[in-house]
Amino acid sequence: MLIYVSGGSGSGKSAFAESLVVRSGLEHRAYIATMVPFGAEGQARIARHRALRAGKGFATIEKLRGLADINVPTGCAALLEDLTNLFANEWFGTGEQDGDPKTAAEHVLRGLERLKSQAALTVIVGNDLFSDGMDYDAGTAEYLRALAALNCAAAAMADQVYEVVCGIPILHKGNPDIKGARQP
Amino acid sequence: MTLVIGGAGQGKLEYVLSQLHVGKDEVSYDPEAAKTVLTGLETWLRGETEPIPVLERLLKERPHVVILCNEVGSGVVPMDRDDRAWRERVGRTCCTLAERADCVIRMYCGIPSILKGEPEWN
Repeated sequence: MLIYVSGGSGSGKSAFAESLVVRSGLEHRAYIATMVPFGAEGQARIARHRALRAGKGFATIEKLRGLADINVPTGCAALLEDLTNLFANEWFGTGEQDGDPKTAAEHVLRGLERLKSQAALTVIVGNDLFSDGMDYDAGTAEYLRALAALNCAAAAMADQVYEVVCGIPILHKGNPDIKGARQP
Repeated sequence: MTLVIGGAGQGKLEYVLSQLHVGKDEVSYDPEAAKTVLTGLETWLRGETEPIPVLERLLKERPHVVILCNEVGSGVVPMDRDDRAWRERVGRTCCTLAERADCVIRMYCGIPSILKGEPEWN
């Protein structure tokens, strides 16, 4: 079971994604962290997410890139947060090397397939970055197009797709009949 | 309280005024002076970093107030630190209000979708 959860900044998507894992009743819970902690703001963001997860029994796996060779316990619930960071890390590297968008997207999608084959429930958090109506430079525009295509591919793989709006999940795809999922 | 969200220009205020049968004289942009309708919450949040106590007071005084807020979180992460903090604050404030709200409505191209509860004007 693969569930894709997306939403804007501050929409409550992380809390909802965690609730899907917790309510699945699956005993082993893996949190796959993807964020490179840049500066005080990045640290604060990570601290906020850690506090949110505290006491929910997640084992944290840091995977800034290279999701395609990840190993999680068979039959666990895996929460990947988030697709945007992972894709950027795969594409631009984490400092040591650079890639290209096509290869980066392939790596991410292979990683999702692998997670799906190992975990009983995989929840992927994505970001909606596509509705501010602004014109960006060619590089940013290329990044946005590639990320949007990756999000669409992840949603296509997913059994369920949710958009979270001010903490309220809106189901766009699938049936909310698994344990843990609920209809808005 | 009813919370109405949606992107800019999606018809939030027009919809609310038509449902409530009130005019623009019932509309406020300041939670401390709000009567029936509080709109432009995202603009007020620009200058307010601790919004919840102020909004709590409003809810106590006006439990049936209708609050309108633009959705601003679905874009590229802003370059400016204050813009990033504001954008996040708008999102978190709306999460808190949605939890408290009896009804949450999202406007899209002038079309309302009910995300929570029942509109009080039904």
